[in-house]
Amino acid sequence: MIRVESLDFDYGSVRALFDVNFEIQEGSVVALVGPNGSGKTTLMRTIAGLQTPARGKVFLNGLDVSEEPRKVHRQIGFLPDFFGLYDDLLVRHSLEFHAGAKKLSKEQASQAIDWAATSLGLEFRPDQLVRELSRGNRQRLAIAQAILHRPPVALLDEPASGLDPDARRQLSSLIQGLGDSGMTLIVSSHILRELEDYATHVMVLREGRMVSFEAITEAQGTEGQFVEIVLAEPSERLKDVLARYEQLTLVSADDRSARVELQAQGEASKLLSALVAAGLHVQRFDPQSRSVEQVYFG
Amino acid sequence: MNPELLRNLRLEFSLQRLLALPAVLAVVFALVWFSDWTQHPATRLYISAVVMLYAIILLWGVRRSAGSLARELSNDTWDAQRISAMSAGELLTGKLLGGASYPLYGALLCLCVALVASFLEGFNQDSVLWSSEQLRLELLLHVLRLALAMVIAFFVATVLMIRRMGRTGVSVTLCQVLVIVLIFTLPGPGVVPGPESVVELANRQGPFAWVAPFVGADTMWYGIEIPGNVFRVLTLSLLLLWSLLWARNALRVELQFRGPRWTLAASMLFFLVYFGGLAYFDFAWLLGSAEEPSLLRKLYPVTFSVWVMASIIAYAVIFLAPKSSNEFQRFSSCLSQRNLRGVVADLPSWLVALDITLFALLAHLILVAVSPASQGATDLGELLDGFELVENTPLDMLATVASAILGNIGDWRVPLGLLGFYGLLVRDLSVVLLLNLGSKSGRADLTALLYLVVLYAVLPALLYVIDWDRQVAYLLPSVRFGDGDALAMHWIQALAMLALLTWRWRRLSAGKSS
Repeated sequence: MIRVESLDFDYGSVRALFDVNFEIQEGSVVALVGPNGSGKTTLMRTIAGLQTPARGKVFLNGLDVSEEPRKVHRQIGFLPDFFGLYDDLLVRHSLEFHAGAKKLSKEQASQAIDWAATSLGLEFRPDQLVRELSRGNRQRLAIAQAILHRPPVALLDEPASGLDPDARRQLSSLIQGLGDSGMTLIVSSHILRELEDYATHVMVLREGRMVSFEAITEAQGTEGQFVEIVLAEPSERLKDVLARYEQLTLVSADDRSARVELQAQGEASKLLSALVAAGLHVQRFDPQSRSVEQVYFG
Repeated sequence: MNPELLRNLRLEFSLQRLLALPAVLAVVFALVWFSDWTQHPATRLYISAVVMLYAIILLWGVRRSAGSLARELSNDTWDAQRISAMSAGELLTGKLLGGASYPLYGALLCLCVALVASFLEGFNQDSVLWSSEQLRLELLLHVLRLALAMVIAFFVATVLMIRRMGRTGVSVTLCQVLVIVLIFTLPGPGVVPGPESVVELANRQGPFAWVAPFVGADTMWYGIEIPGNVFRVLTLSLLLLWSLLWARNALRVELQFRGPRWTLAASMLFFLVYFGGLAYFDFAWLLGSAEEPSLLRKLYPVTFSVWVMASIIAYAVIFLAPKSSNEFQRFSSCLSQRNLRGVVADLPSWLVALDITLFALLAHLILVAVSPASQGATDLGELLDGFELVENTPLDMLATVASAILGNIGDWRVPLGLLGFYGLLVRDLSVVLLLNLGSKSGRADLTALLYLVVLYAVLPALLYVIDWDRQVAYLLPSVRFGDGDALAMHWIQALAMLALLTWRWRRLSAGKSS
């Protein structure tokens, strides 16, 4: 869906992106993480066809972004990190403007506005002035405007900033839903824990270089999966049972709890069965996915 | 309906605002009607309506149109529009008409009042300040001129915004002042008609023919006599068309369209042909030469003025066109890969302007080369050395220099002087590009401007002070035509700057910060 080849981007004589290469499959939700100034926004804007790279190519749905930027624009929903809204318009008029700007017919626009407003929880505020919206609702409106034409690709730069916990949860489920519906998303954020809720991949940028690009979901079920075990009451046999089990590495253990790393997929259920069969009263058995934080911090 | 236009109309109009403006104007016009100011009330009404039309557009409408993109940038809404499916034409009309729709509504009301007043009984056409026998044509000229003011303000502001040369009201005010100055010097109905003597002077063939379109006199263009008003309507209409195309083109660049710079090349050629037509005269003959004017001699000033215009436009393009290092590198890589389509699509605007300037220079060189007779050139340097400002006014000096240049225009040494000046153009372009490829590219053009002030003003002044008069010609376009060492020095500077530029370019291509 998105292919980036040998991408370089310069600001004057300062190089912001160095030889970035990757390919994102349709329906993926990529968490783009990296410290401030690492090139996340530059990468997103270049993929969106808002700026021309010094070298390299970006292909979106088979279209060369440099050659056919306007065709690419129609296939993209983009939420910039500093987004703006037309404060003196009604919410309804604001959404109508964006539907019109995306060349949706009257009927399509009406459906798209209903869908976006409902998805983002704006359905009760169509006749409110944009300036009167709260910070969270402004953010929701901005996201609604960016995706109301249901583009195949959405690029969201810091979509959760300024949102309260409820709104963040809602945003997470919205992004998850968009990903499930086949939309390809790149989402940048500093809140790594929240990216885990919906990201299928994580891409780490540092000083303009892509240092890793991994599929989180694949990593979760395979090697390196950690399990937290807590017993209802202490038992000296816990260590013995774990020591006899070959497919794991013991990270830490005492009579009441242990943390282990499983070696292969499907081992978690077998380990639980082994613990129960040994007569241990397991209070908590918590297989932990490989977190975005783990990928980010290496 | 154009969504951008609709959005702006929704923002600009409400029932209260729709009623407020006619009410205010009605009060103003009623005061004028019932005042005991001279002339008939209908004439007073006409004059006040036209004055209000100018005031509304120049003080208000121009600010609204110039500020329309600035508002998007300061609200952080521009990216959303760039990534929309709206075309550059839709954005242009939406912003130009929509952003200034309220002042335009007021202007339309004033225009209606002026038209109605001109039909009222007792309207005295002759007493109108800018009186003419074709009042409706005059009104058309007013409308064209004000429309042009708005479009040029929008274009200049858009270029400034695209170059991120300012987001504040300062840029908008700058555009407004520029447009007001420009609009009152452009061919159109003069607020005060030109003095009779100037009109008469302009009607004569000669260097003063340039003044003709500015004072409403009949105009000679490539030897064809065109009635003053017709020439002005045509000029303003074509200028309006070009400025609309420039504004659309500026928006296309922001929408990331790639493609040949047809608009720049075509408009540059248009202006060269336009101004060349006004210079189609035999200056030497006018200045007292006994020889019968030939076609070639009539063409000298044409190619000369074409070169002057081309150089002026080239400097404007060098400073105004975007010069991002990414675009240079793409162009460079297309060149090295011999990707002709890419080369044409990514050809920088400054290179187009520079090429056309070179062609204009070559045309003048060829014309002089094929000329059967060359006259001895006056050495302007010597002429100026012997000039005493104590006894003569600066105007006398200007007249002397102008006469000498016009007298020299067919001499082979003039194009050699121009070749030296082309070297300076290349040097200056290299300075601008060198700074734009540096680490502080944000203020590169302003810094380049300072460098040029040093090169063209500070250093020559210092050289004068220490009595190195001769060396001044190394820095300035030489007035000593045929001065070989000045020509060489101009090109040495150009080549040195080009070498520096190449060095920085290579570092940049290798991915090193410089």
